[in-house]
Amino acid sequence: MITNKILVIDDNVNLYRVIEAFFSPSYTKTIFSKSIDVIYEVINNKNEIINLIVVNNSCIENAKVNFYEIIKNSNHSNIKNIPILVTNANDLKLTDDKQFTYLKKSTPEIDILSQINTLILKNNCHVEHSLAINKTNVLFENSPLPLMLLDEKLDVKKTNKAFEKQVYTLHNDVLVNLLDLFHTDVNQIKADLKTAIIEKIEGLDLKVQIGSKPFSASFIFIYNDQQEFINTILVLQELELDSVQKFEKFNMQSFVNSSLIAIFKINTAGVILNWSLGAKNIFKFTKKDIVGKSFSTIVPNENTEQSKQIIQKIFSTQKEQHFSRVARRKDGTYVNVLLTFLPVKNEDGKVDGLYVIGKDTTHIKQLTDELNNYKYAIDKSIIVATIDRKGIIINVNDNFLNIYGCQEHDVVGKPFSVLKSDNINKPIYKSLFDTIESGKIWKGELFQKAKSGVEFCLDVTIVPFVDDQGVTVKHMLFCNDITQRKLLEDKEKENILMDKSLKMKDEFMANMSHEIRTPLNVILGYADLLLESEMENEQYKQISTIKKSSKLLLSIINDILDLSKLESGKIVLDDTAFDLKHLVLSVKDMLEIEANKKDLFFKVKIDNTIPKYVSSDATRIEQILVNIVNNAIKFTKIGYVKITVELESKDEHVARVVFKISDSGIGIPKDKIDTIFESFTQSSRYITREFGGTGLGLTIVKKLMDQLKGDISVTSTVGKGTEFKLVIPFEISNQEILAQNTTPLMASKNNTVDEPLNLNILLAEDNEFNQILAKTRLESWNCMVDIANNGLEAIEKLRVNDYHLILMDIQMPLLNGYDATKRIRSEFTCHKQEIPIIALTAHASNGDAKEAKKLGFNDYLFKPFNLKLLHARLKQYGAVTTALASEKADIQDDDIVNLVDFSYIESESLGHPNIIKMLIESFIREFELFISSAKQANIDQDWNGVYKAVHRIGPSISNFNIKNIKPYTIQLYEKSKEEQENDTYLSLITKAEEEFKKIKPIFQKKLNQLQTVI
Amino acid sequence: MSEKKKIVIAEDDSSLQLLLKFRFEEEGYDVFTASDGERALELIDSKLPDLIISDIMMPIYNGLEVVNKIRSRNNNTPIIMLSNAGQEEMVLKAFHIGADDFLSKPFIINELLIRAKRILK
Repeated sequence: MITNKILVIDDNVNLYRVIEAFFSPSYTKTIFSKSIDVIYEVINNKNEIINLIVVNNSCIENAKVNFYEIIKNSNHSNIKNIPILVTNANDLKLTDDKQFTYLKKSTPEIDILSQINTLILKNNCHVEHSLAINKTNVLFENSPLPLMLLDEKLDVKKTNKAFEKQVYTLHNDVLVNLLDLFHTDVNQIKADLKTAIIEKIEGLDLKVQIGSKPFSASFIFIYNDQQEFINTILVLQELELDSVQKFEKFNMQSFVNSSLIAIFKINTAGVILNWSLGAKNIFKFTKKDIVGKSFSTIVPNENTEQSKQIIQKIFSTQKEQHFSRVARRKDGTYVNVLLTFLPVKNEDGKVDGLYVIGKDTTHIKQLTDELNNYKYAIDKSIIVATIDRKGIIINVNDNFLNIYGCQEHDVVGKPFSVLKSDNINKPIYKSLFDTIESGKIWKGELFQKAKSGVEFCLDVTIVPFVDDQGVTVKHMLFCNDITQRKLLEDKEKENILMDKSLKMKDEFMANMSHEIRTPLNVILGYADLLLESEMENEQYKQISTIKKSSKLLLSIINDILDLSKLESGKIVLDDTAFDLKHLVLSVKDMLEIEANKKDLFFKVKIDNTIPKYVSSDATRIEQILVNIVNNAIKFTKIGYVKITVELESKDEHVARVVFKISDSGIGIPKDKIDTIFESFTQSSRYITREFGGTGLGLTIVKKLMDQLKGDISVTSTVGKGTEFKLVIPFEISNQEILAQNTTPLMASKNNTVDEPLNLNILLAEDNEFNQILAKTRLESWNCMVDIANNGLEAIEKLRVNDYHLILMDIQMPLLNGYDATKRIRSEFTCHKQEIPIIALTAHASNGDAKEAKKLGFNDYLFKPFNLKLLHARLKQYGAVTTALASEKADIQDDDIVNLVDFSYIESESLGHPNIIKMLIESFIREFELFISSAKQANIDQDWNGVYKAVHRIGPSISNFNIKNIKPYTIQLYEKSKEEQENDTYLSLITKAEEEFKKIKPIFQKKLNQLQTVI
Repeated sequence: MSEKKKIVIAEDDSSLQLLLKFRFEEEGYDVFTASDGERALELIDSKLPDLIISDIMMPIYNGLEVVNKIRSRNNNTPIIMLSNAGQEEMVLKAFHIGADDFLSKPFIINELLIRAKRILK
């Protein structure tokens, strides 16, 4: 039994007691001494074998003798070789002597014990092998120091509890490749160990790092007595960091604790050795998950081997490298990362690992992608240019090059101003520069010029790009081509202006029309009047000249107005049925006199095949024919003028009628013939001067023909003659027309203008001169004329009086002719409702004819009056009224007169004409009221109403003793007294009404007579 | 200077009304006309006429009602009724309630003038 002897020199017994308790007394004996002097005893006692001395440093220092010298100078082989453990040392290396081991003061006792254990073991080489092994085993297992046993191949044989505990606190993995934990090349370690063994070195100390902690790894080589190597024991001891290291470590800690940056170290095998918080945040693996695993774990599509190779490559370059790649997270999702590999050198200057620093670039990648998309979109859609602070073009996109029609080298590097159009608007440019220089965005339109010279217009937005200090670095221009839009805008403006001016012209013309014609009509009217009175021949000639000139002036004005209207497209063609043959004949009638005056042969031939009635604008057709025929007569000095009317073609609805007007006149020269239809051409002016006329006639004819959808052509030989050919498509009318309503010119030959008419006429006309004119004219025809100044007055007069017809001017103040007629047709009853009304209109729009009839006029007359026509119309319509009055009965005038007896009234009113007049007027009113209210009551089945109505009128009938009405009213009175339904009521009322119509003229006459007296 | 005598004439026939007014004015009377009984009573109340001439058939109040109303107010102004043919019964009634005279249509206005003159004496 070998016993270990430990000598403890200490100033107190505490340590001694611990040691004594720790080591089994079977194997270990512990001696205590307070003083160093005990050494002398050991030296002197050769039999006392001490295996270990544990001495407190303070004992050494306080000793009077030099402890070290004693040890060194001793001859005792034991002493020389005894391991000495110095506790409570200030420094760990007070001597270089390997015999001494120093432990700092306040070293935990357990550490002291394990150190003792180590030293004992170290020194026990002569112990029996098996025993040693046993002891070793026990000690090994129980040692508080982390121990690992390695075999002769330097593979791990076993580890003790302390070792496992130590490593487990750092790492939970199985002990297989523990040596792989060291941050150094394992092979290198093995090589170093082998070398040490060969050289029979006792041990090897290495500084290693496990996790983030530094350890001292002491490899102890165990040899047998034969100095053969048996095995190696590795002792791990955690090293304390010195202050510098601590500080660095602290900094590193903060750095490593960054939550956004991944930091981890990998060794040359590509194994991840540590893992920061940031790494966890980015890759989602925890330390437990990933430390000890291959780098390929976070690299998709790579296995361990591949990772190893890549890592090796990086190692070999020994340089910092960057990789931007897609990494794989714990949950299988991917993340974009930027990895920086930093080679790390150890103390010895060797690269023993790579630090990997990773940053999540997903967000950045997203932004970059989005930016790229935006850039692409902008680039492709609009025109983009970048200019620097000085206005020099930095770059442009393809759209820019396209629209300017140039290459990149044409514009990049040049000032932007080279592109401006010649139409530069200096003020725009000034404000542009001011705006962008002040850092604001400028929006506006710029005219630009392409390389080819083509000008275009851009809608431009200039945006400044500033740096962090707010200083403008460059400007970007974003432009759209708005050339098309601008063109459209301009066109529209033009159109609006044109419309405006056309409208103004039309309004002007319409106003002028009335203003010009009115005084002209007066001139003509008075001229006519004058011509009727007695005067000298000379005066007659003079006034005739006035009349002729006025007429010419009027026709010029009419032509101008017509032309203006035609050009504006304001002519509306009438569409009424008329007798075509009749129209042509009336044209002939009109112009025959003139032709006869010149002794020309004037013939009209109308084919029988042409339709009798056609629907068109008779007035305009007449105008055309008159114009052409007039010209024919005008330009023919001798010979003939012929009109032929034939049918060119015909179908169910339309007949194409050909009018040929030929003459043996002077003809039209070939160079003038093409322009005769144009107004104000040289030929027309020449004609006007020679032959008179307005020169506009043919132009108007042409335009009218166009509107009628007809064709007109001319053939002519100078000196021989001319032929005009007109083809007009007519709509065939099957209607029977009343002759009186459609013939535009009813100039019957037998009409003597002086024939008296004896009519009561109401003239509604606002112009004083016209009033006098008309009145004088009408009175010369023995008519009684009432004047109304406006429509209202006209209606009032009609209410009180009775007339044969009304001449109604259209344009009047307060109530115009249209509205007055409308009211008459609606508000009045009996014959007054149907009184003939002739519209008096200026030769204005053609729509009037149709309108006239629609609004209730019976006819219309143009001002100034054609006397013949006026007379004819008055006769025509006057006859209608009187005809109605004497419609049915063949009663003579005398008989009718007897039907009314004025004697009672006359005597009772003492013959006062005013009273009689009032009574007659009152009666007429009352009777008409009776008729309408009785009729209405009958409709309403208000029998009492019927009775009341007839009852009221009874006395008046008696007053005048109206013989033809009395029977009916008496019958009606008797019957309606019953207040029962009776189908005879209506017929009685109607009969009474009819009879009244018969005798009404009597009252009229009476009133007229009284009028003269009043 | 004798004051003008005032007469109220109630007659709905406008022609007759006109004639009567004219004739009585020619005779030197002040004439006020009404076309219905209601208006007649108004005029009677306001003008206080010396004589009332009233038609029997009138709108609103007829002649009899007018007579009745006047007499019931103890108004003794002389009243002459104008009647149509076939209204004899009504005429008698009118007399019963206080009318003084009557004239049937048609009549000569002169006759009415004479009767009026006599009554006003």
